[in-house]
Amino acid sequence: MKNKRKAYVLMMVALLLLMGITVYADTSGFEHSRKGYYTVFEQGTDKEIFATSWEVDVGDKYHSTDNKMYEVVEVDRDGKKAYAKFVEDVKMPEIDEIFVTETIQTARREKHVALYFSHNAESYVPTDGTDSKPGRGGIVEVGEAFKKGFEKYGVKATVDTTSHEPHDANSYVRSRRTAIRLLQKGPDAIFDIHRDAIPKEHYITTVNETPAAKIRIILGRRNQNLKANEELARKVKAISDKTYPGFVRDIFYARGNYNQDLAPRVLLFEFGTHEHTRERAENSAVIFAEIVTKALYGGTTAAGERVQGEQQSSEGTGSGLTWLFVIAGLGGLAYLLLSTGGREMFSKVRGFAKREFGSFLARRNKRDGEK
Amino acid sequence: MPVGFIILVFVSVLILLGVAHRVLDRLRLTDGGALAVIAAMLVGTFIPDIGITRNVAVNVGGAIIPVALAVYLFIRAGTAKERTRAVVAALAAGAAVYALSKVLPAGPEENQFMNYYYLYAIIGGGIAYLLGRSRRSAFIAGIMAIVLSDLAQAVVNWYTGSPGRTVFGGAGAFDATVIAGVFAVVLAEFVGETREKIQGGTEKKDMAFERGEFVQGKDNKQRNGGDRNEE
Repeated sequence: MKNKRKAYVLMMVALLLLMGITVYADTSGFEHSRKGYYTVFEQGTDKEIFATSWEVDVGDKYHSTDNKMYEVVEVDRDGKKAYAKFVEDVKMPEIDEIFVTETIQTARREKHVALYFSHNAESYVPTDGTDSKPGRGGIVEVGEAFKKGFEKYGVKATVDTTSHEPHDANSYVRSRRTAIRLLQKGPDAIFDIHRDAIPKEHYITTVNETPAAKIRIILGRRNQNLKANEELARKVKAISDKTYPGFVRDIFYARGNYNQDLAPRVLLFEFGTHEHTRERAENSAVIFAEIVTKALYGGTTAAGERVQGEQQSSEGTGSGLTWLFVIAGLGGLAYLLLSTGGREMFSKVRGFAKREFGSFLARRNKRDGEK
Repeated sequence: MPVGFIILVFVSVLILLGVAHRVLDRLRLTDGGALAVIAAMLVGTFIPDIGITRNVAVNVGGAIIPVALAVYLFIRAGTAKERTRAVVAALAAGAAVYALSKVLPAGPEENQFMNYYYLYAIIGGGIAYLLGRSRRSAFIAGIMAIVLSDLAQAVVNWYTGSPGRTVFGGAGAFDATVIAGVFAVVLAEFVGETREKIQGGTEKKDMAFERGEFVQGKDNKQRNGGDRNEE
């Protein structure tokens, strides 16, 4: 008994110490920052494929500017290098040439998207003077430009500027709450707006003689909505490829879920990187709004033919449902095997069916009996 | 939203709530009681957050209902020992989650094994299980781990003048708070069943299950297989 009490006291002291250290770390301005960035090379040829400030893991996938799929097979964490192998050419959705040049006004009801910022301190050094401005970073202004772009095409955009500071491992635990609040407003899609942290050479571009920043789409690999979100991401890239080739530079399939498990059509966009001006990202946001609007809501060809947008598509549902059933089934089976095993398992399953569906089965048996 | 996506969302929610229901069912709640709690959490998710200060708010479904349930389980705990264990486990798990949020990498992609919600559930469930091998303590610790770490962050934000907003249980039934509570019990259950399997059967086969608890030396005809590992 005495020993147990001693153990409790020791535990509490250790915890208070732990708390003290972390509070100190917090108040003294310690914050996670992505140090450096990864360069990913093609296995065998050593040709550079892409660079990213995201952590790269074996199994991550990368959809390149020229629509080739790669899979990361080796990561050198100390050297910040990774190697990926070519997997296949990506079959992109077919986009009607005429449709993409048309202005669309086809949806019957209100068109609505929502925007939020998991890391709303992210900023652009040349314009904002720093790469991180707690409370309202430059990235929020990019979101506002994105909203204006949507409004130009008749799409209502709700912008939530909630701060999820500090930028730590719980940023997404906090931003999940914002995402749920936004989903309750019934948007057709919700987007988490970010910027990258790699050299600007990877991102700067010119669109119709306007200085702009390229855009990267991030997909979380760990959720049931991956296929549905991938459909939208590919459609967005396909439209961009037709209208402004290279503007949507790539799609990165990263570990994590980035709140994409909450619903289909939840995407994360990177608008350029911290090293260029914010104006470039704002210009991109306006251009990108047109592309996303077309991907979501479709349009009409010059001949009056309706082109379907992702808003009407259910592609990716089957794969998501299979994913869910497999996970739930495996979990249930593992538990049954563990807790019972052998004959007891069958008896438990029978008992469960009898208990849960008893009244239903009884009614049926009675009906059969009457017949 | 197209029908396919509605089905996808519906099934996702149903599976989560199904797991939650099975878990609550094992926490001294009746079938109906468990269902009522699930319904309350779901409805509470859609009730607007209650503002406390400019940067602090609380959600009914994600915080008030789960915390109320944790408090109920705490009050109904059989012994003072179990209550002490529950408090220690909750504090320990809260501190561990807060510390981990500072130490773990900020990007979910940098976490090698799982989403943080499940990691936090493992911490809550693990600590509670080590201390008392109790599902109820695991649930209390899982819920309070997230609530207490949020509370610590809110205090730090207030102290440092950080603009970060804290909404306790803001994602309602889908919040890390609920996920950690539910999966902490799932973990305790898995660990308990594994231990039992390894040792070749339950240690409590000669005990009787009465009013949600095992009692020594009674006639064992009321034995309930589902709670063999409960303290």
